[in-house]
Amino acid sequence: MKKLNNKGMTLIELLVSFSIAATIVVSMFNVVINYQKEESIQAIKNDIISYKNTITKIIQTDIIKGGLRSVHLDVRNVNSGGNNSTVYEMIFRFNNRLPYCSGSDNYCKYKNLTIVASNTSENYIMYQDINIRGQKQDVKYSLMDASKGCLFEKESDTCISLQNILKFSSITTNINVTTSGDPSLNSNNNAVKYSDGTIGDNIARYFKLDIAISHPDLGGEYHINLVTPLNYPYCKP
Amino acid sequence: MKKRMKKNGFAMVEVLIAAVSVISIFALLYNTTYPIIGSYNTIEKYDDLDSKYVAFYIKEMLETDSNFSVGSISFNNPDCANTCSIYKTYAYKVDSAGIDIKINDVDTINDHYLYKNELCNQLTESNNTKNNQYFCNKYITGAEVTNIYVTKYDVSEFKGAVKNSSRFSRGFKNYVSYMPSHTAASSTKKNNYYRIIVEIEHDSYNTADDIYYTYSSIEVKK
Repeated sequence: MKKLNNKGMTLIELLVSFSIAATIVVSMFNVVINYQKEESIQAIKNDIISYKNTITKIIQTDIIKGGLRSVHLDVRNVNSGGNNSTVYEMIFRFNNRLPYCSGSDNYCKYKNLTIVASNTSENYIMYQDINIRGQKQDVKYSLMDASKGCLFEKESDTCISLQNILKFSSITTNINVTTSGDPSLNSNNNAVKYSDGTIGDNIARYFKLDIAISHPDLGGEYHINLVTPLNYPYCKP
Repeated sequence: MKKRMKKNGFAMVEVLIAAVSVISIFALLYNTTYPIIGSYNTIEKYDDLDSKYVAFYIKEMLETDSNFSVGSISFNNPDCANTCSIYKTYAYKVDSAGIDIKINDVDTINDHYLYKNELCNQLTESNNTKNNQYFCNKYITGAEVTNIYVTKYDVSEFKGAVKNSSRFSRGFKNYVSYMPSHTAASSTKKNNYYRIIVEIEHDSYNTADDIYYTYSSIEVKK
């Protein structure tokens, strides 16, 4: 009977095998690390897009169904527990009661969009939706939380550095008027738009809202950018 | 006597056949999934919900105008003064299937698609409560729409023309290349359906010269 070859492997064979295995492991390590980083960025992107789509749909629907009457932007600095924040509060007033809302007109013809920007505490964007009980429900998106060190709420365990931040950049909005210029609403213009605070009827106007969110790893800024025609007969509720 | 197992291992030919088979399967999978990934990235980058809403409102304005017909678009823009007739004859072949943009035929003409305002200027319905043309022009200015393309419902020819032309931006070519062609049998039955592709300019707040574009397409029934 033929005997088995029990000589084992030579040193050369072992070295070659180890070299190949080591090369594969090192190359795979880099691939995995890069993949992890890309996956983390992609998760942030998906979150932004998902939230953007949600509030875009809610605001557009509100404007179409409710008929936008006026917009008021209030910008104020708030100090709470030693944390300084800038709060942008936009109050939408509608001509009609918002669909499915239950309560008084004062409750059902108004909605708030709130943006809080801070270097020391939580940053977020928040708008209101109507829940199944007819009550307003906050739809909130946390951009970053400086107080936690890592600035993205969902990624707090894997946050590599403070460079990985989502940051509120700016908010600009305007309602165009055709006779007296374009009264832009911005942080320097804390006022109700149009002469009597209303948008008026039967004049071609559009409402524009642009919220910019920046992140160093996202290759530019992400915008929540609405441009909605107002008073367009077929878009009226 | 117990039969002994064959311990020769695999022949080189067997190993090669197996390896080639496995590589072929991976190549096939890669070729199948790569366009899907490309399509996803393109949609994510260019085709966002904001642009879709802009396209939707323009569609509403076109569809609700009782005087507007895609088949009888006329060109009144003074910018195309002496070229309008050529423009109309060659740039757009109006037939029962819709509008066919023939870019190769108008290579020497600067404009091979509708000016955005030209499209709005086709909307002539006006009464006490609505001036459609005015609304349209105001809206596309406000939304910073830079171009509106009108194509047949089936965009396969349009895709080919855009691919072979040097007149379009890389972003637009990329967007169009990943658009569904809508060549399904059912689409040929969609009489009077067209497609508009809207291009929107966006400014970045980081740097003054950092401008980017998004696109969206939507069907229009006229």
